[in-house]
Amino acid sequence: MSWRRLLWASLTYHGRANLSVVLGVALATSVLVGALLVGESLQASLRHQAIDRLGQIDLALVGDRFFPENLADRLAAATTAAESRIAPVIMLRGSAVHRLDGGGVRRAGRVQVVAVDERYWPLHGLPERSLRGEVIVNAVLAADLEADVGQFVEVRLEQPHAIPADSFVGRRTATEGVLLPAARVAEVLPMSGPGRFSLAAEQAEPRIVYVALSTLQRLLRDEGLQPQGVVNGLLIAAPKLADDEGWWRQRVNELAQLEDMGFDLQPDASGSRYLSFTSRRMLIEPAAAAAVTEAARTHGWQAQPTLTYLANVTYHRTGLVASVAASVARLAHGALPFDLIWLGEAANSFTPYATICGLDPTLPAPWGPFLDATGQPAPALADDEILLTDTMAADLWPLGGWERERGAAVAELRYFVEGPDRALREETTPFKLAGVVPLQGPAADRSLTPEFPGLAGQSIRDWRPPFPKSQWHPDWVRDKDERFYRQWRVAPRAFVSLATARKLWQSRHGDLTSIRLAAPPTDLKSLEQTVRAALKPLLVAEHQGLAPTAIRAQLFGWLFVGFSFFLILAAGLLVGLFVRLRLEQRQRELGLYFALGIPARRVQALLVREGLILSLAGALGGTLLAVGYAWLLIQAIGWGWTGSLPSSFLQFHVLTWATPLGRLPGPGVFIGFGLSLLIAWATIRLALRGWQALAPQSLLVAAAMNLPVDARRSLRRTAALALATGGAGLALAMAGRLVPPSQAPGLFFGAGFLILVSGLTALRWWLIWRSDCARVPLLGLMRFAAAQTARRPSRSLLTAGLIASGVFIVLAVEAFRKSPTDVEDRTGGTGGFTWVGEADVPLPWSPDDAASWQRLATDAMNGSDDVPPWPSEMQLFGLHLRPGDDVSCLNLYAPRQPRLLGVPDALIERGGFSFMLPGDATPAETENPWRLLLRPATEAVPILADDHAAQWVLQKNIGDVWELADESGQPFKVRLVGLLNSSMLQSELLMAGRHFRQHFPSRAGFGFFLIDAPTAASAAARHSLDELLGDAFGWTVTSAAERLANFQAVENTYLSTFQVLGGIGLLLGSLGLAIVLLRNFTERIGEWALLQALGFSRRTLGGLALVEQGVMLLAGLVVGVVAAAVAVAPMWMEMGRQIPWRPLALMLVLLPVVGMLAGLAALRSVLRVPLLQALRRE
Amino acid sequence: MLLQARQLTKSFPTRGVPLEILRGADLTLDRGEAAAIMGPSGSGKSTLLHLLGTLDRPSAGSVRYEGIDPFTLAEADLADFRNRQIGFVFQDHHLLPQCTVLENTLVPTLVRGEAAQRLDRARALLQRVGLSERLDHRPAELSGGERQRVAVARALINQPLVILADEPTGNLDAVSAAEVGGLLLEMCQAEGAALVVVTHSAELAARFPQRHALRDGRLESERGS
Repeated sequence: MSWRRLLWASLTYHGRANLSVVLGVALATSVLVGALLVGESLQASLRHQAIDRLGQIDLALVGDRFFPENLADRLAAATTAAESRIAPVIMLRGSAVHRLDGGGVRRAGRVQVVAVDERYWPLHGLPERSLRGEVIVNAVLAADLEADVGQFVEVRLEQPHAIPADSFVGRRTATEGVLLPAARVAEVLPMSGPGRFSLAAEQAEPRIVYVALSTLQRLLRDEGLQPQGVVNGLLIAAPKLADDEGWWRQRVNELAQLEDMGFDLQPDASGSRYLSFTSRRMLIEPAAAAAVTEAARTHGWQAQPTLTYLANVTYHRTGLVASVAASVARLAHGALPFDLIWLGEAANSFTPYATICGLDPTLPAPWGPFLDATGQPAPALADDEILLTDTMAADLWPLGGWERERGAAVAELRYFVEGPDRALREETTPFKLAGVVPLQGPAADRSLTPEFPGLAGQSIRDWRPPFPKSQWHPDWVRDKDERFYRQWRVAPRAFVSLATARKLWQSRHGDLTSIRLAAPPTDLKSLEQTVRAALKPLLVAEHQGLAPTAIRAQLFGWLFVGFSFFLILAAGLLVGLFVRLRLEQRQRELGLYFALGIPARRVQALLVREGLILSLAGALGGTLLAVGYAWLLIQAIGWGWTGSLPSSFLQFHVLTWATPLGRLPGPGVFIGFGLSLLIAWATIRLALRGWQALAPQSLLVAAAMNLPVDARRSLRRTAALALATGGAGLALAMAGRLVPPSQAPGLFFGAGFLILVSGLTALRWWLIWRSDCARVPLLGLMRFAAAQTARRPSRSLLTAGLIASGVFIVLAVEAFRKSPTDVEDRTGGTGGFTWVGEADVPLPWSPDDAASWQRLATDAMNGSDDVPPWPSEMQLFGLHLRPGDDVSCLNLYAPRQPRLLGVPDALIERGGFSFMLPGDATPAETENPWRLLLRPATEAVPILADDHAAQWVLQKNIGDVWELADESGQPFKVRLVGLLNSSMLQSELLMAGRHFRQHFPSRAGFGFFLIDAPTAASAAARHSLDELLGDAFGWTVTSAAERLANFQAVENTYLSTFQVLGGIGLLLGSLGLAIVLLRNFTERIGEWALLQALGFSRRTLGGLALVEQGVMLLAGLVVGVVAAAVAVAPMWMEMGRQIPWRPLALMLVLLPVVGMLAGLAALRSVLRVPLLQALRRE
Repeated sequence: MLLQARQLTKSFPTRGVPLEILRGADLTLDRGEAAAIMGPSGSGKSTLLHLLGTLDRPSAGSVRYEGIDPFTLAEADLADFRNRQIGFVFQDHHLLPQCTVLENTLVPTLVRGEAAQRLDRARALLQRVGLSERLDHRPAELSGGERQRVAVARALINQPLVILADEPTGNLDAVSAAEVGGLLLEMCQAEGAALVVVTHSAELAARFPQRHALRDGRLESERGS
């Protein structure tokens, strides 16, 4: 005989009772492991989708900046260790249009345009192929466009500026999109592999059109947008070193030349005097300029920084009358006939469209000094002085005599600068004439002027300048201007001081157009090598946006464990119940151990080991069952999920690990198994607590195990606990009425939970009082029946608690269910807006007033008279948009680069939506929380986010600071300063427009629009917008209410899932109730026989049984409903949420029915035992 | 003196006035002596036995075994004392249904891991109670008398100082009762253990040299022949 022998004998002898514990543990395990398997399946499905859409691509180097295509070849040659294959691509956003044969148009927005060559297709495991002027679309896009193979589609792309669009030379015409000629559809790809290619961390299906890389490159070159042979992306497949992002960045840093980063280092025209450092972005970024200047200082090079600008007109003021006439002409521009304006202008001598250069004309060779006509050095320029070339002087003083006006403020420059909200504003600055230099020598250096986009062609009149057509006056160009252009192109025709040029024309993009470097007597070739070497560590490729990034998305999957928590809790309670029942069955055995002198700890150890073995068996069995449970759950989820997912998206997967023993189940199974074991063992330990406190003799005679030693003391403690939790619950409920509406549901839920605990504690008090202290005689059958529940207080409480918790969860969750809000309510989820618009091709300015509407219309419709009317009842706010990963609950991937909106000041002032505020909000910010965006951005840029996005997707709270990357890939900090409550802006983060433009200057167009139109006028407003913007900008508009409803649908789906699982938990509670009832009746078999012997009819006994079980059932139901009411009532009363009648009715009907049926069945089985046999047991 | 119980008093709390069951019961016994305690139902016989067996604590008075008051021991030491020095035989035998006859006899030896060492003694005891052929049988396969004989063997396995039997023949027929009663007396004497039997059977009590009646919470001696 040994302890082990006793252990196994006990396990096998009490097999049936032990089996119930094993089943309970198996149930809890299957739910827990199943929930984790659902999470794993979700992860695996997302991963499968990611692999499918990415093919063999491991890293991507894609951004807004273009670089030479040959970087792909150089990188491939330098990374043979990684066995890499690299494909250059151009990836842009756009829209597509299919003009149907019978008339009508089908449009699709948010189209991903991918320009590829033959190297792309093997990255998806396909053979190389070339596209010759054709396009390939994927099935989703083909369906949207109703297009098929052989039909023609047009694609409009966002304009990929080399130069930031908001710098004055960035293209400013309304139709900033690039239109690909209509091309034949060569193939429609299925939704797999390249048909699903996307770098975005989203599971929504992309719309893709593939075009030939060479075709798009040629188009961009012809449009003057990019030089030949550039791309904005490299896709890298690297079987080895795929995860080592740092290694790849280092390779790119080593390989990248200045040209790859958008810079040029060119010798002067003679090839012998100096090198010129310029940027393809026109203005040299301040960081790059500082690096070059520093390198020059360190190495002792000579450096000449310059800034060249385009003046619309350079004037010579010839007198007061002429000046007044010119002023009148300017004021009347657009209102007067052209001829009069010309005359007014012609009264003053002028030169149209000349470039003016800011520099120091007194610098020595190789850049000067500038010499005047007499051969004397030109004077140093004061800040208000201008030095003219002789050709310009001849223009402005056609009859000569400029010498008489030297030093006089007779010259004037008119030029464009950026005004508020990116509108161009023409300014005028007068200058004193410092002198005239012949256009020769250093003054005749064409390389002083960088290549302005659009300022090319055979003649000036061929230019396509970078400002609106309405502000381009080719009619001002005279023959002599053309002659000059033919000889000198855009060489500067006048000079001002560098300081003046910077003051007038600097922007956030930079304040220099070139830095010229020389180091005599070093030859230029050597100097070039030295300069490149010196700049290498200072101009790092990854700081210029050339940073390969690993693109496998991070995924998450513990969501369903959270959903299933109540179910797991219910199963755990059931296990505890069964353990307790089993213990009660073995009371006498425990008493005997005590009488035999076996220490309590020994007995406890024996029972605990038994429990551990049962838990292990249950956990193993449950793990096997979990597979089936998870599969069922996935089918159910797939059936009920919101329509944002494709139907085949979620597939059942079990992750496995490769081990020397073969493939073993992965983390979900092991973690779930381990956790289940832990929970079961802890539950058993808890259930075994307290038995040692019972008197041995009462164990021996199998008296009730649940009586506390001191009932009165226990009553006092229980009463105190009930009052404390009830009071806390009420206090929390009152607090919920005082906080902002967004915080209220959480507080009310907490209040309801405390009321639940209080209710159950009060029930326990009644059970103890009834069983031990009640002096009221049990006169009457009802009281007699009700008192029976107090015979086993713990058992009764456990059952009632299970019912109450289930009811509470199912009903209280309804408090969080979202319902549509009043669209016109500014504090609601739509902010009072009617429509939300998006433009795939960003608008250069926002058509938010009649003037900008007209300007947009003029440009977009090429001067057509058929301009849709300005919808004056509408209020429109244009926001900047940086496309990125959706941060709403619609996206199951963890976002890497969130979608960003830049909010204009006008929208900040308008206000709208409701917010969760930081604790340090000022009164002004409390009144209008949008003002939080205007907080200083010295340490971190203030941003707003929707509360759901912040909590569930970003997992950030107010005050949190983290880093985002700007458009050149450089990190900058952002701080979450407020949360929008359940808004329609869940997909993006918001920052003030000024901060947005600072970090994403090339995204300064407007791609996102909020439109407020009164109901009566909203349809007309939408029609006007569609007409104006539809074709040209890839315009799509959705109803604000519909957008909000889509987000709410996801949340409601999550809630429904939670409720379903909670409901299953409730059913478990019912099962527990049935088992307890059966046990209760079976234990008292002799008692029931005695009552029969005393003359109680079976019907009366049935009634007694129903009352007995009904008391606990009703108690659980009432406690649960009351607690849920506290949690949900404020939503019912104040927020217009609906009373959850359906689940409530289900609870009130189903539970009592199940309970009573179980009780009657139990009683029936007990009454079947012959009367005398049953009496003998008594 | 082996057992000295002095002024044992025991009262139980009720909803009203505490219920005094024992009001100063005295009992002394030496090795090998046997005493029967009789009394009407509810007189406190079992309560007295529980006090003697340290299953419950007296409200007043003392119990000493060879001068040692077991109630002054720490809980673990008390359990050890009970395991070594006291053997119980209950009216309802209280055999473990999942264990065999031999295993049930050896259960008390598990505390100090002496089952192997006590195996021969267990067999010998069971032979003396006439169950040597039933060692592998389970309680469900035994008659009431046979179960009680196993309980007797179990009570003696650790060579205790005293055997306390609470109505050991209460559930047995007359023949079995006589057998079990005789067995108890014989084996206690052979083992040198004191024996205290609580019974309402006059036939059984008549066989004891010492007889006491529990009246009004006190023991009144009724010397036997």
